[in-house]
This record gives sequence, structure tokens and C-alpha cells, in this order.
Amino acid sequence: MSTPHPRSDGQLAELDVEVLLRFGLPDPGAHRSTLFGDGTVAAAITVDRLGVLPRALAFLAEVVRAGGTRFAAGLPEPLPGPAAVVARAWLEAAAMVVQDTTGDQLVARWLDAVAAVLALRVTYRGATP
Amino acid sequence: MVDPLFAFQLTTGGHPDDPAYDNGKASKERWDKETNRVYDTRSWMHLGQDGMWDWESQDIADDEIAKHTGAEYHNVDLDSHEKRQNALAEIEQKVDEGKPVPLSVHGGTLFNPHGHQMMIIGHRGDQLEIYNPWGYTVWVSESDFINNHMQGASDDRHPEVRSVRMPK
Repeated sequence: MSTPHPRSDGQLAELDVEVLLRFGLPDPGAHRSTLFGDGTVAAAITVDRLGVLPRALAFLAEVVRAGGTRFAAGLPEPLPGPAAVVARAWLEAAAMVVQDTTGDQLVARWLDAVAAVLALRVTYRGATP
Repeated sequence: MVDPLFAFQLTTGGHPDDPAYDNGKASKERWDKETNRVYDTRSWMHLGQDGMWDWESQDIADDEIAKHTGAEYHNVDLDSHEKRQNALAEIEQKVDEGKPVPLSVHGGTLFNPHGHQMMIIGHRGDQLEIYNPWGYTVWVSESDFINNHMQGASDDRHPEVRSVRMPK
């Protein structure tokens, strides 16, 4: 197996998170790994640039757990401010392929993973050499 | 789980609809100040050095990352070849479940220590994908992880794995 290439924040931010969700959520495997690896960083960078705090993503994850992906996609503002449009597009993409509560749990876990990467970014970016 | 008042304070300064406080620039300044406050909780014994020690990063991982995300972590010291070897399966299992694993790396000497925080976010075959908050992802082999050849993930100052925060 060849070693995958390193990627910069700039390259990661170009990834299409909606496509990653549609291909990564249905089945475990390479697409799922990419969704939870590069995909979480891409999503974290995108909402970081829009001023979203990690706790907003953690909150959205709880909403998805409680009400389901489809319900969360119908919220007027799933993330605060300009990130609402981005979050709704993610949730609508996810809702296309998520069939049951197990799928909702997976979407919630992905949002939690994005929150963790965002928390790492906001906590440690000041520690640049 | 979340603290709406914290967010409210950060975004509006406690003065909603007052243009003097409730504007993008002021909000960004409050955000920067809060970010710096978090970083400044590290020990005064750093004496002007950047970075954090491991016990601080554990506190921060519990106090800051966990506070933000609601995830719970426990610290796992990985200061020996055997410990790293033994922890690898659980780390990979957590990552495969979609739970990123915060990682401390370090190097240097007693009087000139260096430390850095990253996150293990992916796993494919014998490779681990690591996100470095300096602004990139990188893949390291299980062998490099176990044998403390981690400089490729950050720089030559941080070749050694110190610990991970294992998610529940």
C-alpha cells in the first residue's frame, strides 16, 4: 500500500465535504476513512473561517442524535451566522444517504470529530513555532 | 454541554445590538483574547518559551477540548516502546470508530524542552493520518510511531511520542 500524500489546510479546504458525506456515510471502507480523516479537517477549516466555535458543532451533533439528520437539515440556522448555509448543505447531503438512527449516530459522531479538530485548531494555533 | 452565555458574550460583548460592541471586529478581538487566555494558562516556568508541557496539555485537553466538544478523554502515557506498541490497537480502534485521538509529541533536553499537540484522525493499513494545527495533515507509519521517529509530522524538535488522550 502506497503512503497517502500530506495535504495543506489550503488543499483540504478545497475538498467537497458534501460528496465525502454522500460516499462515506453509507458503508465502512476507504470513503468512510476519508470522510472522518481529511473530511473532518476540511469541514473544520471551512467553519473556522466563518467564526464558528467548536461547541456549536457539538451542539449540532446533539441535535442530530436527538432529532435525526433530516430534522437538523430543516433548522433555519443549524450553525450560527453565515455557517448556517454550509451546515445545511452538509446535513442535506447526509440526509440523502442516512436511512435510520444508526446513520444519524454516525453523522453525529462525524460532527463531534469536526468539533474536536476545530477545538485543536483554536486551542493550539497560537503555539506555532 | 454547551454554554450559550459564553458564545453570547463572545459575539456581542454582552451588549447585543450596540454597534460599539456587537460588530465583527470587536467580536474577533474578544475571540483572540479568549484564545490567548487559554494558551496563557500554561506554566510560568516556561520562561518565555513557546509550547506546552505534557501535564499542561492533558489539563488543556480535558479542560478546553473536552469543554468544547463534550467528549471525555483519559491520558495514556506512551513513554516507552512497549507502551506505544500496546496502545496502538486501541488508538486505531478509536480512530476507526470516527473518534480522533489527541497526541502529544516532544523532544529537546531537560533545560530546553519542546512539545507540541496534534491529532490522530485517520488510519489506513499500517499508516496513521495526523493533523498538525500548524496547517496540514501528514501520514506516519506505525513503525515510526512506535520507534519515536515522529519528526516528519512536525519538525526535528519533536521526534518522540509522549502521550495520547484516549477518547471514551
